[in-house]
Amino acid sequence: MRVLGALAGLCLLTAPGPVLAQTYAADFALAVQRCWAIDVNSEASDIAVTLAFSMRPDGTVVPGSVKMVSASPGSKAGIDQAFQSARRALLRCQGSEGYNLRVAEHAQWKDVEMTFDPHEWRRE
Amino acid sequence: MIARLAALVLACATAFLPVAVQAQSGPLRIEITEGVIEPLPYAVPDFVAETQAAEQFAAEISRVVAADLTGTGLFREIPRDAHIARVSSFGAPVQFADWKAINAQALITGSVSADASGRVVVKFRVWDVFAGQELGQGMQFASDASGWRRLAHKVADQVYSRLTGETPYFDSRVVFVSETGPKDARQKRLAIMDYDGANVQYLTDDSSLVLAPRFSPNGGRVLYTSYQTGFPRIRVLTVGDVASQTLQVGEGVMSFAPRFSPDGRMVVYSLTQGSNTDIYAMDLASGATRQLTSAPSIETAPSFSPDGQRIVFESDRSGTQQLYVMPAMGGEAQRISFGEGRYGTPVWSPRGDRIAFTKQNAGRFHIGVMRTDGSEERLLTASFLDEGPTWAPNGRVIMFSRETQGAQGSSALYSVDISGRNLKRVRTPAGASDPSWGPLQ
Repeated sequence: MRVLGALAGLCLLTAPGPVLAQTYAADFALAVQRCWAIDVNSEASDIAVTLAFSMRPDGTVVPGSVKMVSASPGSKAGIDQAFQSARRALLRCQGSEGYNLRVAEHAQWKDVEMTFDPHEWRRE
Repeated sequence: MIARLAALVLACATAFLPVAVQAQSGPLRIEITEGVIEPLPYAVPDFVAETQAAEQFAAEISRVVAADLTGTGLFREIPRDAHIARVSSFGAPVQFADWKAINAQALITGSVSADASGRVVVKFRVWDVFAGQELGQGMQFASDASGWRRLAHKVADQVYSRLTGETPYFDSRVVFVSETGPKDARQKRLAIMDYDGANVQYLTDDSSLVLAPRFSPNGGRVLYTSYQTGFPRIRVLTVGDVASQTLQVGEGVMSFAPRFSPDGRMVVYSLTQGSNTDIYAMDLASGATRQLTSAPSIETAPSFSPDGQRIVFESDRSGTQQLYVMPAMGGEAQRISFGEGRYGTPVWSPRGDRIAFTKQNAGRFHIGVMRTDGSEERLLTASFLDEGPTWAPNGRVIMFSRETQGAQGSSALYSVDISGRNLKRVRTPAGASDPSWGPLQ
């Protein structure tokens, strides 16, 4: 079931954009999801949030660029918790060396919108 | 499974074809639908003692903060001997790189001062290590020396709230029945303690049997059932001066299973006349009573919804013990439990979204939760005898009694997360049962 969920997730995440970007997106998503820890009983586990941020050529997130651009319905506290959880995952998993992305294609991943949607995950 | 995988792969491949040659416009869009379930790693170095008199409290307060956070199962403390940075001053800059290196996602720093009069002041700050910034603003709490554990709980409450977005529950108390002696001659008395089992104080002696204490909404009073007169009568005890009085519900009748309304003005309870047990409500100011059920069956264990509009209770009117919901003023009741086995002791969540209950089925007892319409039933525990759930003030944790089998069996308190995770015993000096979790102080 988790395999189906993961494939479904990758299918969704790689749909838009050129082939190279799809590969980056898949690797990028897998790297971030390893750090995305949510409490399945919290209100935040019912809320999908989309973050927008900028990336440096070295694969690190531009400090201060992470902002929330949308969220599914929820209380202010729940949405903030979902945002913080997603932001922590993004910043934590980049480590000290950044995400493993090709510098030559930086223009394709310079600006990113990343949606963290726990709904499928929770249903498993 | 294989067919579904193949269909999914085909669907993905089909979806990719049209976009593979498209030029990207705008940001790269990524969706993540999987994550990990793991406690959030955090560090809490010993708080800095700012005065000599504070040295006895500084380390202890930081240990209680850590115990509170780790005890939720949502956080994992990074051992202090793994810390690279040393915090020697509350105002010193945080060495984020050192905390990142040990993978601490959150850092709690603090200091404690104490003066000659015994006043203790604790200051703390919470840091988001990977963002390199403070989470919220620094705060301070003060009390006399005897209240140092409460100070620690208050700090932990703030940290918990900032990290999870949830309302906290550490600075709360539990009233329960303390039990000593063998199973066939057990002595029971009311006791009150911090939520973590510390600071136990006894509210009654063991001269008469007591059962089922229930906190008032503000934690100032406790309802309980006493056998002082030989048969069950409801009493109200004021926690501050430990004075108690009998609730006058009528002569020659048995009254039990009391519980306050959310505004503290009403009490619902069961009353047995002859062989029939029904649910009644009493206005505490006027003493006026009202009968809420009138079935020729046993109706008991009433519990208000947090908005005071409905009452959940147990009844055997269907032939087996099940849960029902009715309007707070009485009226038609809707059965909400339909699973196998018997259901009892329902308690409405302070959030209003769930009902906790005891279930007996196939010789086992369970603590469970369900939605208020009976859907999404989930059993959280299983044992020889689990019963009497009570909710933490934030509706995320349930405490209950567990009794072990046999003549030497004893009763103890346990808590469990509403997901069924993080089951753990609450340490008490003696046996314990019938917990009632009070409000955040």
